[in-house]
Amino acid sequence: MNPAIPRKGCLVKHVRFSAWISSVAVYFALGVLFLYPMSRLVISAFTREGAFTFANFTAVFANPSNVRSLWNSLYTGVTVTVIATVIALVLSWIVVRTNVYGRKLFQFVLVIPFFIPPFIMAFAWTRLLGRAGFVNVFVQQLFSLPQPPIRIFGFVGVVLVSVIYTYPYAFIVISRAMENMGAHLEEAAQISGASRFQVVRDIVLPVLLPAVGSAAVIVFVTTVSMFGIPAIMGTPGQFIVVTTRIYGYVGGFRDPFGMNIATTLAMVLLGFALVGLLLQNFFTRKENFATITGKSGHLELMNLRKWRIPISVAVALFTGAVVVLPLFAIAATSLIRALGVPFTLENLTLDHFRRLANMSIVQRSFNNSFSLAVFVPTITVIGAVILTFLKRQGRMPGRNGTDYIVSMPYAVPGIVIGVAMILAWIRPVFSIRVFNTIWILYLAYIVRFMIFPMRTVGASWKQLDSSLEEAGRISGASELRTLRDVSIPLIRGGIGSGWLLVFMPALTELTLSILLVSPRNETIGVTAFNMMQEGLITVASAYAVMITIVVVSLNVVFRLLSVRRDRRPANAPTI
Amino acid sequence: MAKLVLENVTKQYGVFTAVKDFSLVVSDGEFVSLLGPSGCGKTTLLRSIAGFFPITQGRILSGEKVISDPARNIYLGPDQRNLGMVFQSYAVWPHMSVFDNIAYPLKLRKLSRQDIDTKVGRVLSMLNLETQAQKKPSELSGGQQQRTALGRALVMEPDALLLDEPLSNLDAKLRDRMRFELKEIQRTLNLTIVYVTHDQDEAMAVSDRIVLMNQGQVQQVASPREMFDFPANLFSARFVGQSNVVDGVLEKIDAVSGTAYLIADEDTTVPLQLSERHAGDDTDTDTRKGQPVHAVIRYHNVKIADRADTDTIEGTVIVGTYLGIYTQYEIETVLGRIIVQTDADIRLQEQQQVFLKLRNVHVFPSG
Repeated sequence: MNPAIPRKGCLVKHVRFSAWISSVAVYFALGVLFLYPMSRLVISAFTREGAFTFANFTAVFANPSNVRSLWNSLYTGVTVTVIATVIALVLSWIVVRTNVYGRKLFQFVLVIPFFIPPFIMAFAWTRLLGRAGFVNVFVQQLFSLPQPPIRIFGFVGVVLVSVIYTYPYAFIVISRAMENMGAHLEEAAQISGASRFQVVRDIVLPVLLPAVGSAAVIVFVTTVSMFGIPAIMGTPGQFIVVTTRIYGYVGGFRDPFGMNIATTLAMVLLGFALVGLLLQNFFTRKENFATITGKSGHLELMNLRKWRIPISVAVALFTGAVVVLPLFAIAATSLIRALGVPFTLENLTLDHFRRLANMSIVQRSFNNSFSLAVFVPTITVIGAVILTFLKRQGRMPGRNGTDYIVSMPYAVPGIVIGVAMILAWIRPVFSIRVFNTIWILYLAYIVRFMIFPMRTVGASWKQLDSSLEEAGRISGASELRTLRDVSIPLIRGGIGSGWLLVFMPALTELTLSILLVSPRNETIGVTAFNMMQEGLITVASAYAVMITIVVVSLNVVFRLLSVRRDRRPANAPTI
Repeated sequence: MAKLVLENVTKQYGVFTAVKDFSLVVSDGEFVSLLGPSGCGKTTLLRSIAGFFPITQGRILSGEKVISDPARNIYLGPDQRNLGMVFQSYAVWPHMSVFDNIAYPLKLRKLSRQDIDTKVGRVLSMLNLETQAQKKPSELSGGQQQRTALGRALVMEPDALLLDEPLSNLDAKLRDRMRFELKEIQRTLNLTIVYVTHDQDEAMAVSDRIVLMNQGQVQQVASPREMFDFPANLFSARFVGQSNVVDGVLEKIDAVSGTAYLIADEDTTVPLQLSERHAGDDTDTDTRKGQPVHAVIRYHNVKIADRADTDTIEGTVIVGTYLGIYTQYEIETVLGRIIVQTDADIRLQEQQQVFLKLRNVHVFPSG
């Protein structure tokens, strides 16, 4: 054994110095990345030409189009929340608590829409229910109607696709709560003399309320923050919501104060999101949550008896309608020689894929998006490890502040971050030019997604008993050596899932990118969205099919690679 | 309170038989424990009584009322049985206060506000929960949640009380106190109780009678003392109390002295003093001669003798452990390692030669 090497009295000074240096570095980075853009947003909303004013707010509310877009967002948000939550409640109950056929399969298949980028989902539904969509054409021919019978663009379309995109999230939250609730709470009521109805009314619904409430809030915030779906389903039907309105202002409404109006609208949208967050805090208050001690007891599955087959079929049909049908629609469109020709073998072709593969913009956007999807998660994970490490060290002044700063963008809709980023970086700062380069996307993505690895790394580090690290120190390892040899290997689960939680949405991000993209720096999402907007239906379909295949197969690969099972990305609303 | 009658109850899940042909009468005011390892069917049985599922065969009666009889297509749901139950997880409803939790069964029975207040008040004071009445379960300790669950089961004045490992989530000290309180409440209110546990000490401490189960079948039904002193079979002897189990072949049984001689190896025969029941009920030495057996010797029934005798065996002390009221020694003998519990004042050295008397031995045929 080597005798411990004495490190003299300089140790304390050294530590203080490095803590000071790292604190300054951390706060500087957080300031530049997070605080600076957000403050530009607030300033822009409350000033005109450098002077403080409420003129922007009066201007926003003086314009009926703006007011209507706000109203549309709210109205859509509430409608989607109600429908998606009810669907999620019913599906959770069927899948968790009854002997429906294929429970395990449904549990997985029902969350698939969550993994498909929302703008692709929306586009797929236009291929089903749009004017030349398969269903519309089919019904029109069947009854020889003069007009396509279904008009999907507008409120109905936005609600339909938003519900399909958001219900899986509520389903995950609610079905988990149902599983955790266990059977004993209900059995205790039954044996107290409660009928089935009384059990549901007095026990099940109240106990599930926190989960249902917070799921509903997340659905609401996600819906009002969404850009891709209302842009594809709403705008063609003159149904404009706040996010598409902001996009309109940024994209070039002729208004000298367009940017101020956009930021003001963004502030109002941020207000919606914050109200939602407050509501969620209310729902997840400690005393509202079930305290479950000991094992929760095995679930006695309800026997559906004669309803078993009909209900199983109904769930299967629902799954088919929301998962299989839209994917089939884009797949079919991508293979047909031209729109409108009959579906026969000789009309099938791979030309659209070939054309796609030869488009330089497609190749470029794949390169850009994959670089973003690899480097952004890596950077954010490293950042999260450093921040959590410093916080755990307990030597960084105001260390809890970093948490608040990093979690800010969680409540901030993507489009709002996009606007803030434009304001912050549109002019070179200290002659550093990031606007109109790919770097603005890196900055924006980091701000947007930092919260995910912070959560997962923080959570898995929290579970780590500090004695494990102390044992490393007492064995003679330095702090950094302990970090490398003990802490990081033990929190690799949190690191891995944090990385993945950023990778997936970063790969197909649209909302931020559409505002910040510049020529030659396109991303997959933006390129696909533009093709859809330009009416290149067949090529866009081929592109959508390609993206879906990539996303789904990456999901499968990562799922197989991850050692621990059941790591569903539960905290990842990709707004 | 009323008695509970189970007649030939069988519960099958598909091809798996969880409980097989189980019969038991729990008398009015009796405290019966269902004891056994996990998966032995005790919980299934309790839940059959509660009525969470129909049984496959047999009949269950609460008092004179048939509550389950598949042959006659009778199956009352748990809400119609008027039984109280305390769950292992307590199952205290997190969204209701302590008062509301306890009052809930009475509300379902449509009692007047005044009656509810009186009855809940009485239960609260009996369980020392008066000061907690308006608290939510998340503000309670484990013990208080447990009392709340008990109060909720008691307030409805059930015909019988079903307890599913109610103490297993409490820490050791609290568990001891709750055992005592539970027993006291049971005496005071003359409750009929069916109590499920896997903990033999707990079953011993609280029960009038213990039903020992394994793999869905009854192994022994007896009072705690009877079960401890006279295990009915090897399973019972092993599960209740701490025993050395020695395998061998019977050479002969001397009925007069109540001694069995066990062939330990080719040239050694070991004398075992049988428990009175074994000595008494089977003196036919011929039929048992040459029979392979398991001999069960309780730790505390091995005595240290001063010197070699006809009824002693020789051994070497391997290790001793001082445990306060007694000392436990591991002793190497011709029968293998034998564990002995002695009074703490007997002090043996490691490697010391000792002589052991094996008393109150239970012999069960093997193979």
